[in-house]
Formats: sequence, structure tokens, C-alpha cells
Amino acid sequence: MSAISVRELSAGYGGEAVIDDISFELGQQQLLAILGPSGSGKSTLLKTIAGFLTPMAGSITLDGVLVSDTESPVPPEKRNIGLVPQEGSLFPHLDVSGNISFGIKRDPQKKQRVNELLEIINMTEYAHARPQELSGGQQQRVALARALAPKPKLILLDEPFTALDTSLRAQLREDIRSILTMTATTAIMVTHDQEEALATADQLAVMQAGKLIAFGTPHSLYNAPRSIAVAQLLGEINVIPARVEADGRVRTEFGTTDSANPDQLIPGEQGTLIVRPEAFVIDNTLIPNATIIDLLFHGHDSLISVRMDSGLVVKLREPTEVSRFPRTPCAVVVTKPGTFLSL
Amino acid sequence: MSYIRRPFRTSHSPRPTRSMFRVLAGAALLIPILAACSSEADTSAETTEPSVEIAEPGELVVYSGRSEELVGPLFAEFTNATGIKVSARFGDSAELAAQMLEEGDRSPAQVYFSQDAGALGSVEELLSTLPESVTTLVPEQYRAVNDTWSGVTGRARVIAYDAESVPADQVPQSVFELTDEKWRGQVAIAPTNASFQAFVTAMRVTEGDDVTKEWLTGLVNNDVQTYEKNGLILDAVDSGQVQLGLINHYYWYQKAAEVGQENMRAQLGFMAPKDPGSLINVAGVGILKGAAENPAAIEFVQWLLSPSTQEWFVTNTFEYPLVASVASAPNLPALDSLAGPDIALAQLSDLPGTLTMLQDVGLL
Amino acid sequence: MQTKSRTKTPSLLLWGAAFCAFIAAIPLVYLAIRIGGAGASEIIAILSRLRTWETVAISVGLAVVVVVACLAISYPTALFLTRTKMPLRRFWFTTVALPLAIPSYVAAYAWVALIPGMNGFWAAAMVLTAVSFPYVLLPLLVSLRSADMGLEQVARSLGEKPMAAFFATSFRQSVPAAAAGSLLVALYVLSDFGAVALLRVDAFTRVIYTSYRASFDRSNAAVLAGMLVILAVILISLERKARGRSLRFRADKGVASITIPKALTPASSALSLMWFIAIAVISLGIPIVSLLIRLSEGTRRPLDWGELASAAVNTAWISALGAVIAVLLALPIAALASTFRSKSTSSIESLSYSGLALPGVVIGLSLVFLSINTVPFLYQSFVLLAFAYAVLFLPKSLGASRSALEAVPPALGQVAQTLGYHPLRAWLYTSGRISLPGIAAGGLLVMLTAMKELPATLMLRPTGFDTLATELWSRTELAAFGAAAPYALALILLAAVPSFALSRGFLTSEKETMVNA
Repeated sequence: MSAISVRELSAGYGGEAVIDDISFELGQQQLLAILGPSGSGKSTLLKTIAGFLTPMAGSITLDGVLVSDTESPVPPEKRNIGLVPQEGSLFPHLDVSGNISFGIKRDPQKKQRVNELLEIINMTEYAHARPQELSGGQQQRVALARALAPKPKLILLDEPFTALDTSLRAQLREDIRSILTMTATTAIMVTHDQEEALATADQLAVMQAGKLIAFGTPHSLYNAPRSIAVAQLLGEINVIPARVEADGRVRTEFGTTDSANPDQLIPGEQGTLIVRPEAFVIDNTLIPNATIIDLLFHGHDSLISVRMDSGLVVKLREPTEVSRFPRTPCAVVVTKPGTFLSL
Repeated sequence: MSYIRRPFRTSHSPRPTRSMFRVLAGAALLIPILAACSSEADTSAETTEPSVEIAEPGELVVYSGRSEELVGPLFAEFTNATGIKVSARFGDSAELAAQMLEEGDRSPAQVYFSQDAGALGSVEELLSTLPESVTTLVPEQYRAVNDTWSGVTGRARVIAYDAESVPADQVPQSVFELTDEKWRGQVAIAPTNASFQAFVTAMRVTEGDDVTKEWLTGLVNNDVQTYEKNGLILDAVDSGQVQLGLINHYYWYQKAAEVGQENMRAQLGFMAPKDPGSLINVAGVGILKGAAENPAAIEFVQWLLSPSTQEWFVTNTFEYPLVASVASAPNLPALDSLAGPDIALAQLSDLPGTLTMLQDVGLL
Repeated sequence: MQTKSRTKTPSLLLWGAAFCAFIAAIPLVYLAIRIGGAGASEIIAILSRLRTWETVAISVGLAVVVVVACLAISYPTALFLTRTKMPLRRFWFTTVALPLAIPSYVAAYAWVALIPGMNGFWAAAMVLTAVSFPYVLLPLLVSLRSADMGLEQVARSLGEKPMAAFFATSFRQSVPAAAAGSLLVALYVLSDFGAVALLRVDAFTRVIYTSYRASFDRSNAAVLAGMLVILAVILISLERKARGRSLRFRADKGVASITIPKALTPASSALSLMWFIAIAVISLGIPIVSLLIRLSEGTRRPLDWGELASAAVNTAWISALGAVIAVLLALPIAALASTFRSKSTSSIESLSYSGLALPGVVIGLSLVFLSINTVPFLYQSFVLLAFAYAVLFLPKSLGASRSALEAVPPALGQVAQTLGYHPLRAWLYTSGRISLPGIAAGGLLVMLTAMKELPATLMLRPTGFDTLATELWSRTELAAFGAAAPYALALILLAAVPSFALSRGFLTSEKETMVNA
């Protein structure tokens, strides 16, 4: 049975719906990342799942038990859903152990559980430290441990890495990912950072303007997005005019290529091909068909903007062993399939 | 389709909470009104017992407008002499009167000992008639018309003057002189003080409203200085702030006793016998209706008017005894010689009229 | 924009808060009844008297002058303390609240005793400012300490000089605190009687007191007191506007840059020292010295130490009890006002503030009237007196509690709920626990003010129960001021204890709420 099942959920404030008709299911021990720009309703969805907001329509089922519908929702304190808010929100008047044990005060195994969790988050020596003495990353880990202590059915993380330094984020992401796996916890994480979403999630949901516009594995959503909006939210894209050939392949100015979604194509159809930057390659053994406009150095690779002879501007990603200079001609080819979308 | 986020409001209609509040507010206003009605009803019906704690037998509850510092030892004497414990509540005479009026029937007070006659007059409706054994002790001009209260000690209105700047023969013998140009800005009065107000009321009775109002206006035009209390006036005269001040006589004697007569810069002048400025006012006592038959209350009042107590007042507060057989302090002019304007204190009942006049001239 | 995620205002809280506010509004109910008793012609007669309006103008003028003076004193003082490394900073921090220990009537008396001719509007303004400026200074200190320096730094980087940068940023953040303090001061000045009487100012309270004392017509006096209430309501709504307009600058990420105190040049150090010494001398030094002089002059009756001690003990515990009741009554209202902002919650809050403008005599009489007619067995009991203090000073506790609660991020309560805590428990264990220092500060403030209270105490105390204030008063009735001095000094000493605790509380309370500093 799925850990959480959301059906046709609508919720909002003062009679106005902020999220509309959201439906999805999440399996046990999976991590769902909800990605979306500000104002897309991610936090509202989270609050509704946690039980702080009563739905206007639809239902939420946890482990097969109905917890939220428009009638009498189960209050937050009874749902056994953990919450890690954006800034961790540790209780300033308690030390680390006090924070972690806050939800399990009546548990006779309290001490063991706290020690267990301290080990999992790798902060055993900080047991009696005060929240004010911890770094941002440490605070988030304690907040997670606190939420995990009562062994909740589900954990909600609200943009947990936003307040941190970039250098710490990657490490913390991994840490949290592994903690969740170790404790076999189902989790829903809200984020506006696509890199984060792609890296951590088992399932990915994309929200825009209150609606769920995509749901699936990061891989499938990245490589075969169903709409331009989804594609854009997951990374850089190039939109290239294209046409479906009779044999099901796609014709663009780069030639005829395969597509990532051949079974959805109707021969003769006009549309666009969504191609990721990494699908291009500069091959100077060929006749140049483009001029380099700009380079953005990212360390591990570069994002190069080129203007095709046709006038189309394309962004491509390349490892940086090779030096490129602006205003030099080059030849660009497509090496991986893109996604065809009809107009 | 718009998903405009509105500012947070309750997702359930706010109307139930608002109407709840209105009902609550309405109920809130209703309760005290009901209470007020019930208290009115109570006063008209016969009350069998006040629902406030009654003093035990052998205990007397006194509301005293005279301060603890002054009469505390006196009450202790009473307890020594009679064994009756005095449970005294000290406060300002007028505030106590207001409190007793507010308390109505359920007042725990049994005896009211007031600093002045005016306050007694205002609570006359709460007082019972004093027994003959008491009323025969005091001349009738110092008692209420219906004998609901009796004076205990007398205080003369006097004029304090700065002996360093005013030679004794220049001290005014009449209040009417105070509007003279030469005393501009040098005269001090206490218009909020009950004694001053009683004095003005007396003036209205003997001289008439028009003359009184003219005189008051004259004072204001002559830049009269106002103070809150008699004691402050005396201090002002004593330090040379002003040259003349209208106060009660005993303030001077009390201060002299404290700092030494030779150190007093201010001296007292008594005005001409028939002058309105030489009014004799009284501190007085009354028994509340609820304690009318209470022997302890009657004993207390009798004791206040007994020769020994009257003498105590003479030596400790420097006031005038009202009981004929007791002589006043030797350094004071005799009470009869002062005479004061020929009115009984009971005639000074139109205090509201005096206040209106004082307000009209701008002194209040 | 921060939204609170409760789905509805908990009705229990709403009812609880409304009940508490109703309690605080008891004097208003009494006034309404008494005003109802006055005839329309009487009311018109009172209102059309020019003198009445003259005194109203004087009182309002006095309030305005005192507020402005308090602000003028408090801002530089607060800046010196929070933004500079002036000499003896810690010492000054602990003494800032001490002037609150001196009742206005004692201060006035001490000044008059020293400078006999002293009187008038400006004298009263000075005395009242000297004893009430901490009401503005203390909240201002809190506000400036926790202000987000980041904004100021941005302004500096854009070319603004330090003072201008301050005015453009942190100053705005301090407006709600200054407004709240100013409201307390204004209401205090409007309701004060002791100081203006001694200093011979024709204030409005004098008219009210005369009405009560001389005419015994409580209806007339009630009409006049009603005018004070209207004034108070106007002031309260002004403060609300000032509070509402300035944005709440709690940085979204909850991170406040730590304020870095600026080192001072020797000249500036000397200047700052002089400033503080001048304030200390005027507000504390001169009154205390004057009282000591009076004390040394001696008195006819020797001091009864037993009497003094018993009065001191009484004062201490009855004011403590009143403070406890005040805090308990204010808490539901504060909780409501800090979390849910709606028309009904702000009216509940305003309701509880209006009684602060009324002179003690009105409060006293209202409680006499109401208690004797509804709970006569409580009349003239300790409980009623403590309760009177709570009603009188509820707004002080309310302001402090509300500020403390507002500073706690709501996410904490939500997290507690997800950990299985029922909403009320969640609130108690998080917001309640964290704002405890602020709530306690409010209690201390009430206790301090209750110690000095006089008119309601005189009316409602159990017979024979004396506080330092009543003993002091009974000695000033006679011209025996020398006898009053020891009681005045004892009162100041006793009240200095909670004042001191208040100051120290401010030094340490800030740490707990900021986690991400």
C-alpha cells in the first residue's frame, strides 16, 4: 500500500484555492521532491498534508487511513507526520538532546532513541550543545532527528537547504538522503532548486500555479518532459523547430534524429524538439555551422551559447578541456535524442 | 483562472466568532446593570442583615477621615478604656463619604468620623439620629439639624501671615481686605479644600451670593495663589512664598509643635468676630443607620465627647473642644470670643451651589 | 508574507480573552452606569463649561510635552547604550529602570521640599518626565538591540551618513516600541493626580477629584471621567496606527546581524557620561537627597520600625499577588493579539487599555460598587485589592506579553504539534516557555506600579491593612512631612527591587529568541 495517497486535493485561504486538483501517490520509503517556483503552492500543499489547513476538496490517505478530507480532518498532533521547517526551528530553550526527545517524552526508551539518532546524524558529541552554538547544517540535522524520533509515517521537509551555504548543501543533501534511507522513512521534500530535486528524489512532482503539472522519476521527467514548462523547470533547454518525418524520426536543422518519445509522434506533425545542452557536441572536423557567442565557466563544464547560421541560438554543455573562444566558428551536432512536442 | 493569494483569513466564516463576541459584550453590559437594579431594590426593601461581614460584638468599625497619625493613639486609648476593639479605616473624608454612598446599605462602617461638616452633611441619609445623651453635650450650632451628626472639635478659620514681611498691625482683620491691590499675588487659598468651601458657603449665607461672587472674582483678579491643602499654604507662608494664607488654626500649632514655635516664620492672625473669615468649622461624628442600636457605637461617640478626650484634643491637635466644661488651649483665643459668623453649621448645606460658584469664577 | 497556518481562531482562546478584557473594562461599565444616572442637562452643563475644556487642554498639553520629552531623552540614551562602547555601560543598563521606583507624588513632594517655590506646568512636566521616561526607554532598548543592522549597513553602503542611515532603517523599526511606551506615558500623565496637585497645575484630574471629593455627586464626576476615557481611546488608536504602519522587520530568514558597538572618542565618552549623570541626578539623585534631608530634620513622633516593616511586607506581597493576577488575565489576550490579527482581537485589546487612563479613585469606586453588589463577601478583602491592581495595570502586562509572544516564530508551535502535542500544550511548551522572560518583565512592571498605587488601595484595602503608600499619604495629610520621609524612602527602596530586576532581565532576555544569530 502506498505511504501517502492524495486525491483531487484543493486547499487555500479565505475561500480562494491556492492548490487545485492535486493527485499523486507515493510508495513506502520513497522520497518525493516537489519542485516549483515561488507561489506555486508547494508550502500550501505541505501544510495541508501536515494538517494545518483543511482541504476544500479532495482527500489525503496515509498508509491506507483517511486523514484529511473536507469533513473532519485528523489534527496535526495525531497524524504522526514529522515536519522540518525551512529554518529548522529548533527550540532555543532546549539543548540538542532536549530538542530531539521533545516528541518522545513519554517513551521509556527515550534515551536510547536519542543516542541512536545522534549517531545517525553523526553529532553524538553535541548532545548537550545549545542550538545557538550550532551551524546551519547542524541545526538542520538536529531538526531532522527531532522529526524522526517518534518514527513518523511520513516526514515533510520544507526547503530544508535554502538557508545554507552552497558548499554545505551538497554534503547535507547526501547526509539527509542517507539518514532517510537508514531510517526507512518516507519523505516529501519541497524545493525550488532543480538540482536538489533531481539529485535527491525518487519521485519528482512539478507544481506550477497551484497545479501538479508533472509527476514521475527525475530521469523520465528530465529526459522526456511532457511540456516546455516542465522541461524548463528541470534544467536548461533548447527549443528547436522540428517536424516529424514519415519514418517517425524528427527533422531539424541539425538533421534527422531520433526522439525520446517516438510512440507519441504523428508523421507530418509540426512542433518543437526539446534538446538538453548536453545533447550537443562541437565537432570541428565538420564544416562550421555556428558562431560561438558566449561562454559560462562552471568548473566541471561550460555552458556555451552559439548562434547557428540559421540565426537560432543554442546553448550547449561541454567539458572544459578544450578551450573555446567567442566569435569563433564551430560546428554543432546533436548526439542525443530530444523530446518532440507538438505545437 | 486566478489563484490570487488573499491575506490570511480564517477558512471558516468569521461570522460565528464575531457574533459570539457581540453576545458576550451584550451579556457583559447586562450583568452590572442587573446588579445595579438589584442594589436599588435592596435599598427600598427591608434588609435584614448586611451581607458583608459584621463586626464581632466588642468590635467597632469606624471610617475615619482623620488620619491615623492623628487619631490612632486616640482609638487605642478607647480600646484600653472600654475593651472594645476599634477597626478603623483611614482615608480622605470626602472619598470615604463617596465610598459609603457607593456601599449603601451594605457598608461595613458603623461610625463615621469626619474631618469636616460638609462630608457629614453629604451622608446624612445614611446616618441615624444620635441619642439625647450625646446631643445634649454639644451646642446646637455644632450639630446637624436633625441630630444625625455632632461636632467633636472645632477649628477656626484664620489667616497665616509672613511675620518677616508683614508687621502684626498690618494683618487684615477682614477677608474683604484681601482683594486690595497691596496683596496682589500674595494671598494663598485652597479652593479644593473642604474647609475653604465651607467658609465660602457660610459667606454666601451671611453676605449673599452676589457679594460672595464679587469677592471671589476680586481674589482671582488680584492673582490669588491656589494650593491643594492647608498644610501646603502654611509651608508657603512659612518660607516666604506668599505673605498671607487662609487656613485652619491648628495647622500652625501642629507645625510649631514639630519644629518649635520660635522657628515659625509664619504667625497667626484671627479676624474680626463677625467677619465671614472667622468661621468655626467642626470635625464631627455620626452613627450609621445599621449600627443605630449598637451600644459600642454610642459609647464611642460619647467617649469622643467626654471631658478627657476633649482635653486630649486640646493638647494633641490644638483644636477647640466643643463640650462646654472643657477649656481650650491657653495660647488660643477663647472660642466664644471668636464667635464667628452667626450661623449654624447645619445651614451650610448648599455645597453644590458653592462649587458651581467657584467653578464659575475659575477657582475650580 | 508570513501566514499563520491555523485554520480558525480557537474559540476557547477568543472567549477567554474576551472574558479577561471584560474584567479589565469593569471601570468602564461602572462609568457607563453612573453616567446613565446623570441627567442630560447636567451633562450638557458640564460639557459647556469653559473651565472644563481649559483643564482638558492643560492635561493634554502636559501629556504631549512629557511624551516628547521622554522620547527626546530615551532615543539618545538608548543609542548610547546599544550602539556605542560608552563607559560604565553595564552599570547604566542595570539602573535605567530605577526612576520607575519613585511615585510621581513623592518626586513632586521631594522637589517642592527642596525648592519651595517650584510649581506650574513646566515643573510638572519635568517631574513627570523624570519618573516616567523608562516606560519609553525600556522597550526602545529592546527594539534597538534586536534591530537588524543589515539594513543600516546597506544604507551606509549607499552613501548615507550614519545618522541618516539610522533614521532610514532602524529608527522605523523602533517606532512600535516607542509608540507603545509613549502610550503608557501619556495615559500615566492623564491619570496622575498627586504630582499635578502638589505642583499646582490645573489639570483635568483635579476637576475630577474635586467633583468626587466635594460634590459627592458621582454622576457628574463620572461624566468627567468618561471624557478621560474618550481621550484614552483616541490615544490608543493613535498608537495602534503608529504600530501598524511600520512593517515588521523580522528578517525572513530569522537572522539578525549582531550590533557592533562603536568606540567613542574621549570627548564623546565624556559627553555620554555627562548625559547619563544628568539624567540620574534629576530623576533619582535630587529626589532622594531631598528626602534624606527631610529625614534628617526629624519628627515629633519617633519612627516606629515595626509599623514601617509591616507596611513594607504588606506592600511587597499584595503587589506581587496583583502582578500574578494581572499576568494571568493578560495572557489570553496577549496570545490572541500576537497570533491572530482581526477586528475583534484588536477591540478586545483596546478595551483592556482604556482603564489605564482613569484616575485611581474611579477604579476604586467602580470596584467598590461592583464587588459590593455582586460579590460582597470579597469586599475589602486582599483578593479584591490584588484584583484591583490587576485591573488597573493589566495593560502593562499585556504590552510586555504581547511583544514577547510576537517575537517567537510560529513554526515552533507547528513543529511541536507534529510531534504529537495538542495545540494548547504545543503553545505552552514553545511560545509560552520562550516568551517567559518577557512575560515576567510585564509582571515586574505591574508589581512595581502596584507598590506605588494609592487611591484604589485606600478604598479597597482590608481595614487595618497598610501599604507604604498609604502610610506615606496619611503622614502628608498633616504638615508633618518629616514623618513621611522614611516611608517615602522605604517605598523607593522596595520598588527599586523589581526595577532592578527589570533592567537585568533586559540584559539577558534577548539571547533565547535568536537562534540563527
